[in-house]
This record gives sequence, C-alpha cells and structure tokens, in this order.
Amino acid sequence: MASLLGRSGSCPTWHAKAKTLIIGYGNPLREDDGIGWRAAELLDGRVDAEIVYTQQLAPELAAQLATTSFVIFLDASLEQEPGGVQCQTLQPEDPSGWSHHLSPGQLLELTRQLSGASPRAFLITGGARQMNLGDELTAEGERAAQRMATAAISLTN
Amino acid sequence: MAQRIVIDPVTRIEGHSKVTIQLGDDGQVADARFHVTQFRGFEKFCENRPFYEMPSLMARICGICPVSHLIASGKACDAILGVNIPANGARLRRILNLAQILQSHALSVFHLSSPDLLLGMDAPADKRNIFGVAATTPDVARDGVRLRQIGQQIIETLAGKRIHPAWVVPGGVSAPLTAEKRGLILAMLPDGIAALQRTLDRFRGLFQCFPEEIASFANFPSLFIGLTDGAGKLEYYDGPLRVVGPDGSVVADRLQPADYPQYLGEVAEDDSYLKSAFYRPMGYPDGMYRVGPLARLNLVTNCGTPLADHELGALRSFAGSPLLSSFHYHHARLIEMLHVIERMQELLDHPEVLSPHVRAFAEPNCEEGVGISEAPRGTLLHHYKVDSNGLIKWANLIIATGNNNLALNRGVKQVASYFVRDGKLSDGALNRVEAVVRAFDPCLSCSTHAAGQMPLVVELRDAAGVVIERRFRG
Repeated sequence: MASLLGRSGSCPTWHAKAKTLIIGYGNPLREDDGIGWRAAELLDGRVDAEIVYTQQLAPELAAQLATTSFVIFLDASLEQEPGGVQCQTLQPEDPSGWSHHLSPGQLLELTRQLSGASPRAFLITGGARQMNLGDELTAEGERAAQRMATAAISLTN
Repeated sequence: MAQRIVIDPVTRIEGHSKVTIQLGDDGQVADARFHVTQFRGFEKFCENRPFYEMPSLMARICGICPVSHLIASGKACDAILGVNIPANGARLRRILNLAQILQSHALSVFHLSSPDLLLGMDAPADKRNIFGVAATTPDVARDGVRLRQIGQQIIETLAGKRIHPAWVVPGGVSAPLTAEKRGLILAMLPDGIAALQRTLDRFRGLFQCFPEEIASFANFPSLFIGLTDGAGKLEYYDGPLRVVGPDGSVVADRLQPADYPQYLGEVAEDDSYLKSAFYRPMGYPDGMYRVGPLARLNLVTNCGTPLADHELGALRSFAGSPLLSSFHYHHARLIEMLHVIERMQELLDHPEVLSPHVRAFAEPNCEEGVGISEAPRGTLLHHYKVDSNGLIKWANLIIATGNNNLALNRGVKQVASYFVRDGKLSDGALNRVEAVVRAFDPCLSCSTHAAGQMPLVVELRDAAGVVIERRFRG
C-alpha cells in the first residue's frame, strides 16, 4: 500500500509540479465509508500516480497538492444510488465553517492560497449502501469501488 | 438580577465542550465552569480483552494523539510482562513519541491558535482560522502545514501509518529501523528546524503584544508536574515524576509512576465527563496542578539541546521563571517543537539506532502494570490489572487534559471575570474564553476517551440558573 509519503518517500517542496495524485479517503472500519480506500487500492500499480490513503482531508495535504498538477479524490457517498458512481470537476471553494477537516474544494483553496495555484481536480464518489461498523464493503460498495477505479483510469489517460 | 452565560460549543479544540458563566446579582462574573459533554468509556469496554491488544485498542481513543496512548499503553504492558525492553526499542519509541509531539503541537499552534495571535482576538470569527492565516501570512501557514506534515511523515515512516499505527507492542516495537528510513527522517529535520526558527522570529515579539491575555489567561500560582530525566533536562518517555511549586521550588521529586495512587487523586464533578486530577498531599482542590509544555519547561533547568535552550532563555528573560500564565503555553509549544527535532537528530545519530534488538518476548509475569509518558498535552498514565490468563480485569487512565482540568476551569473563570463586562458577552470576550481553553490544547476525545470534533457552547445564566444568552460555535 502506498502511503502519505508517496512512492519516492521524498519531502515535497512547495512549487515543484509534476505528479498525478490520487487520494482515497474515508473510514475503512465503517463498511462502505471505505469505498474511496478500496478504489485507490484497485488503482495501485495500474496508473502512473502517487496514491494516498487517509481518513479525512487535513490541511497538511495542501503541501502535497502543491507539488501536483492533477489530483483525483475518491470518496463514498450516502446521497447517491448504492453502487453508482459520479464524477465531477472541482474548483477551490469558500473555506467558511472549517473546523478540523476539509472538503476537497476547501483543500484546493488552501493549496491555492499557500502555493499560488491549485491542481486540476476531479472528485469521484461511489454510492454507499451503509456505513456501520465493519471492515468489509457491501456488494454495492465493492461494485462502486470497481467503477470508480475504471473512471479514474479514464481520467488519468 | 444575576445571570448566566453559556458558550456551547467551544471551538478550535479537540472534542465537545461547553462553558457556563454564572453572573451574580451585581452583573459581575461569580463563577465559570468548563464542561466536557462527551463520553465513551474505554476503561470499561477493554475489560476481558487480552492485555497485548491494549496498545492498539487504546490508540483508538484519539485520532490526534494515538501515538501517546500507544507509548503509555505499551509501557504498562511491558510492566505486565515484567521485562526491561531492549535499549533500541526504547530509543525508537522515543523518536515516535517526539514526532507525535511535533505534529500535535503544530496542529495546536498553527491550525488552532495562530489565527487568534496573527489576526487578533477581536478579528471576525469567520476569518479566525487557517484560511485567514493563509490569506494574510501565507509563509506562516506554509510552515505550519509543513511542520505537521513532517511529524506525520516521521510517524508513518517509523510505524507504518500516521493514525493508529500498531508498531508499538508489549516488549518494544515490532520492527527495527532501516537505514533507508533513517535517511528519510533525517532528511526532513533541517526543513523543520528552519520553519521553526522563522516562526519563532515572528512570534517571539508577537507574544509580547498580548499583555491583557498574559495577565488573565490562567495566570495564577499552581503546582507543575511532569517527567524528568534526573539531570534537569526535558524528558518525554521515561523517568520519575517531579512536582514543582509556583515559586519554582521542588515540592516532590523522583516519584515513581507505579506509586501514583499515593500522590495523585481524581474527582468526578456532576457537570462534566472530564475528571479533575489533583496532587493528593495538598488535597482537592488545593492540589491543582498543570502539565504539558508550560509545566515541562517549569520543571527543568534547561531543555538539553542548544537551539531550544536559546529560545527558553529568551522566554524566561521576558516572562520570568517559573512561567505562571497559561498564555505562555503557545511559546512553550514552539520551543518544545524545536527541541524535539534536535532530540530526534541526536537519537537517529546514535550508533545503535539500526540495531535489530527492539523487542523483548515474555508471557505475563505480573498482574498489574503502570505506564507513564509525556503526551503533547502533558503527563499520560495507563494502569492495567490482568488475571492469570492475561485478560484485562481493570483499567484506569489519567489523561493530560484531566490533569489540567482544575487549572483550566479556574482559567476560564479568570478570563471571564476580566473580559465579560456588564453581563454582556461580546465576540471578543467569547473568543478569549475559548482562547484560554485552546491555550491548554485540551484533547477531550482523549480525556473522556471519546471521539469527535470540538464545537463549544457558552451559556450565560442568571442567579436563578435561567439561561439568558447562549452562543454556539460549531
């Protein structure tokens, strides 16, 4: 599994931009909340990208986004059909209401503020059936993760 | 008529809490209380689990400082095994603990408190966040983000993942450090030193621009407690406890962690899930004490590393010694961050740091174990009892925030008395009540062993207990 460090393990600097970054996030101990993680796992080794797994989007990820020209966020959603997939472009967004974690758009805005630019970004969400305690996806969650990985491959190509 | 103010929830802290300010008939603040409103009960639901699961289970108490619980829990389990862990196992645990302090302090200073310091206590609430800092002083925000990232990356490099790593195990750590990982960590440290020196150059003078806050943010005599190395230098992993009085004199020294019931007590209040710890020889509540960065700097002669010692000298020349105002927690955190990077460098340069001997193996040999370490917020204690099969029969945790609870409550009252005027809670007063809480950097998820973000409610109540004003921050 790739890590926050990325494959190179190198320390990012604020203005070098070259990589594609894929961020799978959510809580893999909450059933389908782990859809983003699972989709990221499916991409590991299949795309030329640095893959990050994280529970939530925190400000320090801005340092990695600042070194990236293209980012794909992978997340679960209870607001769409279980097993379905949606893909949307993202823009930096209003940071109001921030407390401890960020939305993808807020993270892009923080990156823009700190480095002067934000990467081109997409959010791919997979429809979750349920998010109870458990470290396995439902059948719909697994199907969503597979579709998300396919969509991400299309985007990176 | 007397009134009461309620601040609910308190924001930019770790967990859920509420502040109640009670006004007297004269409209002045008669009392103020900090209530923690969340509960999970880890001490109960770990019962009957195998003791060797405890480090991983206890790490789930918190997503901010899981490493602190890993360390204290691992040490308690070492005691149940009855082993002295290999020196390099302890060394690697130390590095992990220092990285944890770095990332947690960065979160507290930069993400949570720097908006108050850089933008001002009276700045609009919607600007007082990391985005406001990024917009006005992006260099500071960049350094804060980078410092937290360095701490997180070191944890991940050592232990496999940033949150809830399972690398600390009873008897030591599960795998030695490789030369490649050592090189990766060492490569990050100069960047961290440079970021901290830039930050201190900016903040050293800035801290002096808050005379009212210095005067009123929990600025009173108290005891200070923490680990010592026996030679007057900072210590975070092991050693006996020292108690220092408000004049800097040593009240008690070389207190053994396993004897803590003799000198530490805890009281549960009706209005909070957070227990209040006190120094037992002075009783409750006179035995109020503080732990954490401020206390640790008050306990020692010096930090033991050159850059941090230089900064400590500057702080003491400005604020005196011992430091009594909890406003200085912020400055103390920055000095500790500098120190922990210097200390990590020393530990990684040790000739035995790549030694494969990092874990001792044994069956349970003792029915009881106590583990103490210094978490970012202060002294952390885990105490377990097991049966003959090694199943947990009883557990007690004393958390840094619980250690600070009496002082925190008194600090809230002091700030409220200073800034609440004519029975009105202005935005600036509201933020200062929250800011004194933030100065302690309480982790309520840890202290009640509960999860969640940290919204805050402040209630203003009259003498009859009727809420006359309620302010919410989420």
